[in-house]
Amino acid sequence: MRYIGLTLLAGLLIAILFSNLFNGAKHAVFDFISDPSFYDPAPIAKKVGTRHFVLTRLYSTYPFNYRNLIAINLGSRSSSIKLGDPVTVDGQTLIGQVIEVNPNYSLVKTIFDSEWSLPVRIGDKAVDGLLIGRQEPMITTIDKNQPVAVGDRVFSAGREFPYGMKIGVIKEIYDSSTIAFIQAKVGLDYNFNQLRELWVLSN
Amino acid sequence: MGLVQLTGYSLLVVLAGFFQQWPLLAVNGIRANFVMVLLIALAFIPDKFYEYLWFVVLGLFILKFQSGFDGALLGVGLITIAAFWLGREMPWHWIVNNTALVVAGTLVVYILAKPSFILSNWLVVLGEIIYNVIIGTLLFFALASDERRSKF
Repeated sequence: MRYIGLTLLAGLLIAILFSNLFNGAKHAVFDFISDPSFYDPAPIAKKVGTRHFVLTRLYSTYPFNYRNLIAINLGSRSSSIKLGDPVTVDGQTLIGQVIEVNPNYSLVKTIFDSEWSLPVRIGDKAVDGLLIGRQEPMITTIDKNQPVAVGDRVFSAGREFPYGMKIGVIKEIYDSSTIAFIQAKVGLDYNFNQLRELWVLSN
Repeated sequence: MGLVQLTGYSLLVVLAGFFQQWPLLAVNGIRANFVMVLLIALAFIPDKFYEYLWFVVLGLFILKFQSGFDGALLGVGLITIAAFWLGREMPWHWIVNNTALVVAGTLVVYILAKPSFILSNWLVVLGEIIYNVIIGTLLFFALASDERRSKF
């Protein structure tokens, strides 16, 4: 009996490691526990300019520090969410991109993820830079001859997002004779840890 | 281990999994590996391996976040299973054994998941080690109050 139990547990362990076993059900339980009133709601949509956004709830985050992924309660069953859709804080400020869609939930890679990188433009002169994901997102490869100042607006310039989506402002600039390019820290006007709802660009 | 104790510790593992995925418990953006430190502290309790394996399976299930293989989960699984034997064989005091396993476990998770992260974000890793050791020590002493811990 003991060996049957051990074999079953070992089988379960392998199934958990290599498959998506019960993951959807688990996220649904997380969602229900975190806010029963929000469970399986009709999608709420809004329009900002010509763009359509769908409201989603953030109910869990990736449990290890080396990635920054979030699970949202919008899946293919209740919405038209698809891979690559931009995710915003308020319909204007870009925070991430959908990387996995399941029937009941989706996963979003955020700008804080160590595997995030995105071409951006800075300020009125639209200076080029590359946004690198980390706990405090950083812009690298800014040409030293270009005018960049603290407070300049940072916006997206990648092909996978609509041009000009707001990301934040320049918070600190790092310049040194030993590095070929300027680097800058990006200041954000929201606290990631306190976010509960996000808006997914649906078109 | 009785059914009540098994159920109680199982609930504790589930709770730790929720905490680990709750962004508000991150200190300066650094989150503790609650499930791993709890499983390491629990490794000193059951006499039977299959009882402990149940906690490990439950912990990994709660931590499983995305589809496909995840090196970090494998790291947590390996170090916690190893802790069942290592914790009893290591030559130091129980609390030192627990701390050593927590530090080693934190590093093993990153080595299996993304080794470059240790060098590129060493402050985050150091912060997590400190956070894990604090939580792990508190959990160890909390669990030590259990009557079955009288052997310590």
